[in-house]
Amino acid sequence: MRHYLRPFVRRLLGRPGLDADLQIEAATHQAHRADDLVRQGLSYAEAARRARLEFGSLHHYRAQVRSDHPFWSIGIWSEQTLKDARMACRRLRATPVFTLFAATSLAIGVGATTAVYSAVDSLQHLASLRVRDPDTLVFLSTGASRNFRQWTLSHLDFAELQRAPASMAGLAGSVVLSRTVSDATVAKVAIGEAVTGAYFPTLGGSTVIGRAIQPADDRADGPAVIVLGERFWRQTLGGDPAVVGRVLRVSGHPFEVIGVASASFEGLTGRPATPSEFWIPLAVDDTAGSGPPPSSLGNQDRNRREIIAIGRLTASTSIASVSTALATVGSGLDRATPLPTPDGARVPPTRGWSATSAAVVARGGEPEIVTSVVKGLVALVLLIASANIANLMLSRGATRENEFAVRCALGASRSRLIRELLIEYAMIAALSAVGAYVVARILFVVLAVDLPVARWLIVRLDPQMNLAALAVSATALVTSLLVFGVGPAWQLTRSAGTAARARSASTAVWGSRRRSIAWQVAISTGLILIAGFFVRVTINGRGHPSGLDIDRLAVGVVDFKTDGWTEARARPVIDAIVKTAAGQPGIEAASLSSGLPLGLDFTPRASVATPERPFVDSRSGIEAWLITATSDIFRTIGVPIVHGRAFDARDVAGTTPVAVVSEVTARQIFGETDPIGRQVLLRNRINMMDRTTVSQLTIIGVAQDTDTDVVHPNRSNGTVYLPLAQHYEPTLAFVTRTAGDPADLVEPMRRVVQMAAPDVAMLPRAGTASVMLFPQYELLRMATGLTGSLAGLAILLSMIGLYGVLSQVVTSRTREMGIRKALGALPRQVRRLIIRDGLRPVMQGTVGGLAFGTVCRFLLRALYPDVAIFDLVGFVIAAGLLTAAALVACHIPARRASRVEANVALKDL
Amino acid sequence: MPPEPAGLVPGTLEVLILKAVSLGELHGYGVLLRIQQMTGGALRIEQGALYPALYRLERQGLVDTEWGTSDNDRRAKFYRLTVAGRKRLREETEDWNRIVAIMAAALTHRLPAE
Repeated sequence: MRHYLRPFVRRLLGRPGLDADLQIEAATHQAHRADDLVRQGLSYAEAARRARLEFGSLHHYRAQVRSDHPFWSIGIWSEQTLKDARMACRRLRATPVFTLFAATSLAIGVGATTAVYSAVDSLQHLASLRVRDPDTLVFLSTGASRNFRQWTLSHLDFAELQRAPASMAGLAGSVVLSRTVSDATVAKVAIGEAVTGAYFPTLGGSTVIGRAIQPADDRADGPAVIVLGERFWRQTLGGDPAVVGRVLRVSGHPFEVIGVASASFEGLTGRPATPSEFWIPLAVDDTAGSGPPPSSLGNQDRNRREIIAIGRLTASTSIASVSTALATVGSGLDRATPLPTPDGARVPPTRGWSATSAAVVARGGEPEIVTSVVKGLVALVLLIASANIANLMLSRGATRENEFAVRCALGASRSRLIRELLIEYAMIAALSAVGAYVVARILFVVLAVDLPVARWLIVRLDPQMNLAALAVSATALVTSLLVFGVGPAWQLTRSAGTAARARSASTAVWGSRRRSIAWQVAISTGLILIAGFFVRVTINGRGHPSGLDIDRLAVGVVDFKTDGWTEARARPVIDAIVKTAAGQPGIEAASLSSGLPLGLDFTPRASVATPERPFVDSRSGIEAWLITATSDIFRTIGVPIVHGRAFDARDVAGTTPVAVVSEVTARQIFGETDPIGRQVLLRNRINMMDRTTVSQLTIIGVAQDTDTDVVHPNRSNGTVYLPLAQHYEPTLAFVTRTAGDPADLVEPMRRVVQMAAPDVAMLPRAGTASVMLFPQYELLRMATGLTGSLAGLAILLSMIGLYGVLSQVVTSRTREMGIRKALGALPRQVRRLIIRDGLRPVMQGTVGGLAFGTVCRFLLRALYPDVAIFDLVGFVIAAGLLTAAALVACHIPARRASRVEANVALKDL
Repeated sequence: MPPEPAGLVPGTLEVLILKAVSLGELHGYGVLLRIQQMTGGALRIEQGALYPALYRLERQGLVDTEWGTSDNDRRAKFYRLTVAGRKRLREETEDWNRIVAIMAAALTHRLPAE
């Protein structure tokens, strides 16, 4: 083997190969022979001649050596390839514009489509469900929603369903919750589930240590047990092997660890990034929170839907039969216990009982429409890039037809021509691979955003290269490169020596390529309109003044609902946080509040009534957000008091309980009369649970209205502000205000909390108000960025195509231009002719694209009904942008055409 | 006048080369001289044909090569018999002797007298 390889290795190492060896040996041989002959008396010249003759034909022997050595042929081949590569290099350098355009199209095409697809894909993976056999797993719910986390039942309905005749292999319930899990050494806010005994068997969850929660645990007086998630066990408890039997406190209540779930079991949080960290029995859950025991009124509320109900289909049941059975049971329940009369017409009198296969859920959650739209757009851009490469290749093929014809006629074989082309394209592909990598990397940086995916968590969306997408886009583009690059040469070499044939074809080629350009322009226009749609959604929402100084706020969350934090202990810490924060550079004002009027999902709600017209039932009164805050809240969030006063040092525990209400609430309760000094009754749920208290308050001020919803801003709901000094709330938003960039506040805030109370931590979710309160806009920003960059890319690509094709057309029409000029056409007229030619497909495409974009906007309006389908500004921008780009692309070829000298063009007539 | 040199029996050049280098390290021209010496100049060898044969032997691992300087100060490749080459030479010699014996017996064969 060594002997086979040596020549090849030598060649690679740059040492003389067999060819050179043979040459030297032959020379040495002949020299020795000549020496001998000279010694025999011959003249030098004669001796040398004789030695050569006797040696024979070196060429002949070399051929013999080569044929004996298989690797020789590789050497020869590689040498030839190297030569071809050098040749291809020279050719590519000779046509820099073509090389640049081809490589750029490929690089952008592959890089951008891969990056965008990857980003969208990772977005989708943030919210998806991974369970075993999703095809047979069924979610039961009342009311329909796109988000499976809202496919829930009330406790009462769930209990009734459990009693109903079984139509499935099992019926399990789960409530996703967050609790502080702690013991002497650790404390962590964890996401977990309270589940019924059927949960683990139904979902197919197993444990690595100990046992899972069983049907026997379904008793309110059952043991308080906890199953830990594998990741929680490993990361928080250090993978303690003796964990079973250990007692952990869940929101302060002791729970005994009975097992650790297997790593592959994620539970039903629906977020692979944050799988469930613990499971406790649903029957004993209410003892864990500060809520009421299960028999209290709360769980009797049929509108309080929080149980995710799941069942397994058996071999004999189908999703249809389960739906039917559920509808029967459900309507029976609705008849037996009619729902209370709803306020207004917003709640349907009968509920939609539905059964949905988990396979539907597993494919993705909420952002599905946006992501599928963007994915579709990616495919379109890939199409443009392919068409564009095809165009470029056809143009180049056409200009090289003569060259190929001549070379064929001179005896170049087809395989040789094709090989040369392939090498050329391989070099373009290699060049663009580098470019694609750079483009993708840049886009990954641009597309990385912080998305708050849950109340407890901000996930940094960090797109990973999607190899499947990379393979698809690279294959598509390289295929079009090869097919349209090699195709013309193949066609041409089939009938060799048809040099003159080429020219007549170019007019027909222009026709077909004009259509292709029109298509590309249409897609680009559509993309601009779609990007415009997202921009419009963002502007509509963000442009609407929320009533808060969003751009100057940073928000964190401090939770005292943990082990050992009583009101008495928490109060000094709360005061310390506010005081320390006020002294920090950059922080203008700071406050802690039970929520904000918009965007924070833990903000409690309350009902308001008056002593004259008190609450009659659980539904009477006026709904409002309830914000219990430190006295600086109004200054911090920038809500002015329009009447009366804000809280101050007078409003402490023990004095008259006071409240500030927003204008809407004041109007709803008192009409146009002056509310200051009037009494109101306030009924609120304590800590989001259902035990309610009613308190009587004196109104001391009216605050300006704020938005209370984010994507569809409205001010129909009001807000009631209470002084934190008079009412306690353990879960608090820590809000600070700055004159500068609120992003710079997050770290100081963390330090402030740390300084005030080393053993209470600000929750990991913290950030500027625009991220914390408007996660939807982060998604929209991303969608806008994605479609916008795709549109830009599409325009760039189609303009490159337009330029390439027009250049070629101008070249092929040189003679025509010459004749025109000879007949008296002015350069200006020639220029106009070419530009008109180039603009025609652009105009056609723009019209088509406006139609296409309008259809897309129509589809998107299902998501954001506030945005108009027709957007004149968007239309004008799209059309203007494309026309401008087309003018630029046409300009150079047109100028070249106008400079054609009549005598030069007509010379070879 | 010496007799006209005989043409080479096909396939025998390699054996002759192996024999030549078995007596000591040689460069290409040296191999030629050694063969002529061994055969008393009775065989006619195309000088250039030595080289494809030498390269073939090298490829088969029967000879080893090393670049050096020849006695008149020229760059030359020196060939040396490897262990495998020595074994092959022995086998080829035995084969040759057997063939020669068989051929000789066959060619001197006469039909037994009636």
